[in-house]
Order: sequence, then structure tokens, then C-alpha cells
Amino acid sequence: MEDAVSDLPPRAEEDAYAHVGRSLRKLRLERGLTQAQAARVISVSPQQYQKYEDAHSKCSLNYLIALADHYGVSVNAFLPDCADHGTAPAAPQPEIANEADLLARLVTAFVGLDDAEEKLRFVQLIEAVGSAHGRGGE
Amino acid sequence: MLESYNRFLEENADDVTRAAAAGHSAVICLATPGVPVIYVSDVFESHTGYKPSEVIGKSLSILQGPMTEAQAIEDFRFLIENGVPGTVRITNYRKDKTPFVHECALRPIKNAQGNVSHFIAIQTPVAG
Repeated sequence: MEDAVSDLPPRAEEDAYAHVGRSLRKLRLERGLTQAQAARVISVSPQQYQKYEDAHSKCSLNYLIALADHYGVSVNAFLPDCADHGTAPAAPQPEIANEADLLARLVTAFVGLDDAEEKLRFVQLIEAVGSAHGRGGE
Repeated sequence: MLESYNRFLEENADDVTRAAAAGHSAVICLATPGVPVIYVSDVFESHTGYKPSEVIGKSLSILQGPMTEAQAIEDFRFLIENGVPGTVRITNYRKDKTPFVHECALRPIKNAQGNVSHFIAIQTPVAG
């Protein structure tokens, strides 16, 4: 990472590391990890890892590669403006179908319905599926 | 302001979140800006001891206490400020002041204009 930004002017370098820090935090929270758990991935202390997220320390490229590998993303996911530098875009992430994501999609779909009758049918459908599931489990 | 929360519940979230809420997880709806609680599912009371009427219109910071991790609060702030999804493990406190650990999955809900208007939080206790 230090090599990747060493030619940048100081302000741009600060911005780059701030971006890396935000990306580290965003990807960690998407995966539901604590800072201590992320720190263990790269064998540093939680305090040191926090400095990377807060851009108070420069996260080395080998750490970014290790974290990218752990999260299943390209290392470019941590870097600013990769597309502008001709690097390959990050690989698309697989859809994580956990309960919160599904519920958010459900509510978003519901909010998108204009008609009150459609909304009612939507809810009745969900309730019917839930009831059927409940009976099946008995 | 409370009127708009109630309208949101009536028109959108209430029945859906009730229908979708899983057994042991509490569903919490938060509005923007300021992210006050506008809805909690029934399980919330068994997790925290707070009745819905005691938290509606208030911040979830009502659950925080001495052992609540500053880092977790900062993580929540990051998710809310950036309108991005994430999951945070946090130590909170029940109404009787006993601490409990749970994972809170936060998901932004966008309106037709593409702006984050609400967040849904799924609160799941962590065993042990």
C-alpha cells in the first residue's frame, strides 16, 4: 500500500489512506466482524487495526491482500478510484441472503407498491407462507 | 414528527415486519434523520424489558451502559452516516440494568428518490 501511494502529494496520500480506512470498516461491518476479529486475520493487535481504519497508521499492502482474501473481494475494493488507473474492477460479491438483507428487501418491495389492495395481498401472502411453514413444522 | 412515524407504520412497515420477524430476533425500525425508534417487534420487550411505548420516539442509546463498547457505537454511527448495511456486536443493558450481548444487523431502506429514509435493525442475542 505504501508503494502504491508513495508518489502521491501529501494531501492526496492522506485522502487515499482515509479511503482505505473507510473501506476497511465498511467491508468488516458488512461481514459482521469486530475490529478484534479483523485484527486476528492479519495478526496485529486490535489497537493497531483500529489505527488502520482511522487512517492513523498506513495499512501495508500485504495486510490489505490478506483481508481482501479473507473477505473474498479484490484488493481493489479497498483502494480509491481503481477504475481510473486501469486496474480491474473488484469481482462481484455473492449475494448474502441473511435475515436482515431479506427483511430489508421485503420492506423495500412493500414500500414500492402503490396500491393499498396490493399491499394487503402482499402481507396476506407472507402470512400464508408463514402459517403453512408453522403447520409443516408441527 | 410522531405523526409521520405512525403514517409510515400504517402504510408500510408494521404488518410486513411483524409477518417477517423470526422467533428469537427482535425487529426494530428506525427513521432518519436522528434515527429514533419508530417500531419494535414483540420480542424486543423480552430481550430488553422495555415496552414499545418506552422506546418509540427515542434513540437506541437508551440501551447503552458502562460496558457498551465505544467501538460498536462508532461502527453504528459509520453505518448510519454512510447509509450502508452492516452487523455490529454490542453489549447493551436491559431495563433492569443487566447487560446482554447481541448482534445487530442494520439495513438501510431507501425511498423512491433513492434516499435512506429508514433503517431496519435485527437484534439477535449472542449465546454465552
